[in-house]
Amino acid sequence: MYIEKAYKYKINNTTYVAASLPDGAEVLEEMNILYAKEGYTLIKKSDNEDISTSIWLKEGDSQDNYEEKEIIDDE
Amino acid sequence: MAILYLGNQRIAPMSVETKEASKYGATIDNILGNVDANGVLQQPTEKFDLNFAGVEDLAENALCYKFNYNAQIKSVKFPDLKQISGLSALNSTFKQSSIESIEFPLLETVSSTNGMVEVCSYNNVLTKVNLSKLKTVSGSNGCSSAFTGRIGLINTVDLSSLETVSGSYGCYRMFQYQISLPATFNSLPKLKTISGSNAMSSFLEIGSGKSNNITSFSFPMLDTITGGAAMAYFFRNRTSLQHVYFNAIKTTSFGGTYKTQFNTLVSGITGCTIHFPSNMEETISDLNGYPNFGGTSTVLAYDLPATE
Repeated sequence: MYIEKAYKYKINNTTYVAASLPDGAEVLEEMNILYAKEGYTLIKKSDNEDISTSIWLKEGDSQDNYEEKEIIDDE
Repeated sequence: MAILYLGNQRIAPMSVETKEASKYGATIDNILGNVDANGVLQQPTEKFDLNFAGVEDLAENALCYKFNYNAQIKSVKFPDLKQISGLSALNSTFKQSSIESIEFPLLETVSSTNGMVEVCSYNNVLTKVNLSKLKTVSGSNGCSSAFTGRIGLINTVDLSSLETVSGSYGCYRMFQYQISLPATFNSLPKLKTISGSNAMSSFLEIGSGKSNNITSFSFPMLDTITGGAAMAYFFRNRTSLQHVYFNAIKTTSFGGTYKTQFNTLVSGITGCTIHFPSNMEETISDLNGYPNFGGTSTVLAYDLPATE
């Protein structure tokens, strides 16, 4: 898990979010973005922000293996 | 069976051309080769075109795996095909074959499971695909991996009518590894709904380090993306991509169940700008993968007209 900075800024009345600030940008917010540690992908962060219960893809795995399960209720 | 001899020379029973009428453009000689003088069955060599005129739908397994590895068919047309409702009807039909073009000018619906799965996968000479009237892919795996291929020579695609992909894995990997798709293939202009899980994941994914042509891509009508991995790895490794436009997306577009739809949208791409309507800031910031959505130095621009 690591933190990366991002910026929300305005240029000519349009809002952008990016990792770097271009010249003339009006900074609206500096953000600390949480990422999975190298080699992992964060696919779901728990609602209570408790990172320990987040779901991570394992190293070497891919999102191809992540899918919804259809639950068909006959009733 | 009688074996014919001319003097001491054995004459193979199939060495004389049959005079059978053709069916869909193919004769029996196109499908089955002749036996040579040594009794060895040869592959047919004559190239031919298939034309399934009059066929409006396909029954279960109608052409399943029928022309796998075929090296004689040059082109395929289904001029009257309107829907594919039969299970596995075109499952891997021309997989690893040598066809150069395939046309479905009237096909509107792929509703069956595995309807067109891998229909032309791993074909190394295919350049043209016409699906100009295809509106709905509702079958699970309906068009999954239909045109995935290691070399990827397809340079002409018409998918301009596609509106709904609701089958899980419906268009999964549909054009994966197709590195020759032209810069003019830059929109799915009528696509409105992607609701199946993994419905369009890896749709345009290519291999790492491969050259590619598409610099921008727009979804002017897309307003429903509810499958959990609906657009996972959609553009993966298309390093030429600089702009993606979601003009019609709304605050309710992602449904309430998943936030993972864009998680890996631009994986492997650096500096891509994803454009959203100006009212979408809060909704987009709540999605998994925000703000890079799998890419590096992704820029999010809320510069399109508000949708609500």
